[in-house]
Amino acid sequence: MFTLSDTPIDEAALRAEFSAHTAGALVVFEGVVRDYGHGRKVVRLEYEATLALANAEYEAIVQEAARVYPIIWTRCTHRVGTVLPGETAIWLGVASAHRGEAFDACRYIIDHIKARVPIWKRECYEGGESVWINSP
Amino acid sequence: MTKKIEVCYVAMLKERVGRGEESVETEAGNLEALYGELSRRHELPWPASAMRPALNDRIVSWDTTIKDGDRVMFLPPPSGG
Repeated sequence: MFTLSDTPIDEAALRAEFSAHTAGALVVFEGVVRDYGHGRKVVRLEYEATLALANAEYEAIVQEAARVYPIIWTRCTHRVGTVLPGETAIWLGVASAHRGEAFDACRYIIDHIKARVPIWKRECYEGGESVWINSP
Repeated sequence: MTKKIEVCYVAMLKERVGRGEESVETEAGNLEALYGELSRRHELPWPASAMRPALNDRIVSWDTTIKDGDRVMFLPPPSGG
């Protein structure tokens, strides 16, 4: 399941959604906002996304991963709007029977989320300037 | 034949165009032609090859035909995660 959140991510609530007793490993990736970027002090990030498109691409990624790894459960939520340094921008949980598969599947999914899911980040610096990351 | 298309802009496109949505009347046959038309109208500095087109909430190919009432987005390279 993929969701967007315009409020701080509740990691405990997301973790509580997992209850598959056949899984021996739950790997969680949390993407946390750094206070520096491109050599400058970051004061905030601004994220924009469209749920329908983002969810469709996320589901495609998970289906691809499930063809390679024996995934039992996944869950992802991404912030939209303003996110401050130190806050979690993305929470991704992936469960499998064993840790090797769970780590590998989680890595696969987060790498593909970053490359493909239609979410856009603007980095805002001290002094007022900002830049859209990966702008063509 | 003229079609009425709803175009949603995001990220740097929205900043450049100055709005998040636009209702467009066009005779463009497909998404690539529509992007070309909008690119000229709004002086967008990015080629179509830099974007992914989406039609009615699905990412599609540039040669996808458009029809009256469609909802279109042009998706810049992602930077989430």
